[in-house]
Amino acid sequence: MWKRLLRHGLAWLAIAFALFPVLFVLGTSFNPANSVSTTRIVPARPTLGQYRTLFSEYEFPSWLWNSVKVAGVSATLSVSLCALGAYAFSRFRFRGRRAGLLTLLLVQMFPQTLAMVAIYMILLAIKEHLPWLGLGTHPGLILVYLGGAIGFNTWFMKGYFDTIPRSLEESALVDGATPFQAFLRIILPLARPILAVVFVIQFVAFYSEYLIASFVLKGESKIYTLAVGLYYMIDEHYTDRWGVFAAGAVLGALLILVVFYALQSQIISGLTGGAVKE
Amino acid sequence: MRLPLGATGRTLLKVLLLGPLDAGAVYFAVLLSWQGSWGFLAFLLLGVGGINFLTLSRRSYPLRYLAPGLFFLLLMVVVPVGYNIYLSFTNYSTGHILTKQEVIRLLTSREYAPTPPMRFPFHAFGTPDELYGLVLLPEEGPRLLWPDGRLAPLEGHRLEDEDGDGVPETLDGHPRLVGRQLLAHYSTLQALRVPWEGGWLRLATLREFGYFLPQFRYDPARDVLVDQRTGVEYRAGTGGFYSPEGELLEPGWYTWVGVKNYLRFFFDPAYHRAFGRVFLWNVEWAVLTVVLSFALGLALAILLNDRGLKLRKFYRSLLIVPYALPAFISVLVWRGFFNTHVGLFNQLLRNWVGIEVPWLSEVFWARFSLIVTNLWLTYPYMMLVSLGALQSIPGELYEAAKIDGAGPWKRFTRITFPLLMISIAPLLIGSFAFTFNNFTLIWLLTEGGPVVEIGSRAGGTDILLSYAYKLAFQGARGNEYAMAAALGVIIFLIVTLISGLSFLRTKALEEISRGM
Repeated sequence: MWKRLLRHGLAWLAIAFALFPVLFVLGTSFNPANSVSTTRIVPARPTLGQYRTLFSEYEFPSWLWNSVKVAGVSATLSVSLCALGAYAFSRFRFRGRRAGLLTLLLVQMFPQTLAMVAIYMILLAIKEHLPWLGLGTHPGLILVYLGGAIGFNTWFMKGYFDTIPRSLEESALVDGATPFQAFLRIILPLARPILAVVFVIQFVAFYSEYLIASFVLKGESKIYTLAVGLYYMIDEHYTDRWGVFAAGAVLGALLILVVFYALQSQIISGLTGGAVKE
Repeated sequence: MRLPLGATGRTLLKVLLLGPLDAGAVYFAVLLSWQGSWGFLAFLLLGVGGINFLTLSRRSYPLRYLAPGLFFLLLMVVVPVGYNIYLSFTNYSTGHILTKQEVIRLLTSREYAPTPPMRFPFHAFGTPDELYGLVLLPEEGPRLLWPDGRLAPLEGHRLEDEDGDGVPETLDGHPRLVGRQLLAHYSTLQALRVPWEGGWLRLATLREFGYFLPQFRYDPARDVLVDQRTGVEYRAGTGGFYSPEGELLEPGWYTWVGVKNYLRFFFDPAYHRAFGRVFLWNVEWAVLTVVLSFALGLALAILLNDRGLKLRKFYRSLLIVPYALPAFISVLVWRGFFNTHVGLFNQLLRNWVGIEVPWLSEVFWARFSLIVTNLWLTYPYMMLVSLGALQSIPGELYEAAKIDGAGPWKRFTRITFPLLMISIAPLLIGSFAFTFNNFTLIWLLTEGGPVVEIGSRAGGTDILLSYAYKLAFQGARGNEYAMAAALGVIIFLIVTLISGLSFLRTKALEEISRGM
């Protein structure tokens, strides 16, 4: 009896640790006070004032839209590219296949961020010839994100494709379909769960990325992603923008939170499976 | 999906599609080679050649699927990594951005005014829309200056001073420009460089042209730059021209410097102390947070793994909330809590015990804050992987152990933990590598601060990656791109070494090769 109470007590203690920042920020965002933070979780007179300020005085809507756009486009493209590559690695036998897979794994060990200076220089050079794709543009940022996402996800999807029985495609191939048609009509629909998981994991990763975005999106504040925008908004302004920042934090986190809980079990199995789950 | 075409039809379609592409490529290739952009030219030719090969060759069939992904992987991972390694062996940084030719051109276009300065008044004629010509008035007599920079004698042109006040009103019938009318031609006038007695004339004020001499003359045979005023010779050395005293004439150019950048991290006092300090903390940080967060995650997993515990599904979904939020937002929120003046923690401490803790402004507390924040961010992941691993341990093992008289602690250390480590060790290594380079957390919470050493950019909580970021993008001494690139390579070597060694000790690699 006591033992069970102790267990529940410990669990609730951990939950308190997990949730207090969330509840506190939620409360702050409905609190009209901006300058001095209170220690109350539930505000005395809740208002939507902070949210109104956020939309009227800051470029928050642009930042949020930029983040969704960049993360959405990058995740969509990276899922398509990786599915194509994974299909080839899973179904075709060609010279250099093993070497290709191993190279992919090794390249992926070098985090892209370590080459940030080179990426900066390359985007600077691209800007001279193609201004819409270079430094300070969203397509440029997407380009960088796409490169970094290929290796791991191709591996991950290949593992899943390997579990889909070949007999399904073979009958289609006998009926005269090309391998590409088999891929499009048979493999992709069957692989829908893994495509969704990779999409969501990538979306969340791109949405939260700060380092690369911070030096690629130099320039006007209108082009910032949420991570860059919120940082510049609150950095040095904890004393006078805490309330309005809390509103931004709630809205910025909401989308990800909803998606995460909607696809909870798939995402968790994807994230915790890791690279070595084949 | 299949096009209703025969084999010939498909070939024809391919040719029709490739034709315009190749034509366009040739056009741009000519354009690029004319501009001298060889890097882009090579890229274009390789790309278009690749597309042609992929479309026309039968043997390349699997490559058609791989090419799109490989393209981005090459462009944004492989090429940057190679380029980064190259940069790390150069001196590319503020003051060493240009090529040698550009530096020579820049320095030889520097000018100085002779003493005493020579100034020639001038008059300009025309309309605000069109500049007809100028008349310069040197002591030896007026000269004509055309807007394209040619000097000409005044003979044959009519310069008329109708009211006789010494200032001409018209030139060949064109009226003299004054005030705002003259200002309309300011940029044209400013761009004029008129060769004049070994130097040049250029606009000095809105009324006068000045006579200037080149400050430096380049002697290609001896590769020296001679200062025309002082006669001092600047000799070309590594990355710049140097005075006889060994001082660099700014700006320098970028050049290959070998392993110098790497050596500086180990021997140059301006870097090696910072590097050592940052490296130590970086390792401590990664080890400490992974161990602590794994301990907490495992403890909670064991708690939740008890099938008799009611509400455990509900508890689990509440406990993973930190994992379901974008990390950058959580970190910025925690930074607000840690704020010394208005933060939640200090408010509570003030109310309860009347003290304040300098959370982010003292090294010890800044590190403490980072570890607490990261614990909050990462324990859910550890909990989830531990739960998964715990559930895969067969229950019979525990039954057998119980019968043999093993207590709970013994069962944990002899069965649970060793079995757990088999599947979790690779993930812990992955976590370690990720935490080792977790720039976002460090940057958004402390920006690497607080300052620990005046004049050094590395703060008390900087990790190697944030130190590199500071070197590259926010230096007080400008952008030290090459040093940052070298640091990137060093970080890669460290992480590879550590994770490579640990991977060898686990069976992860074997499992990977089975997957192929």
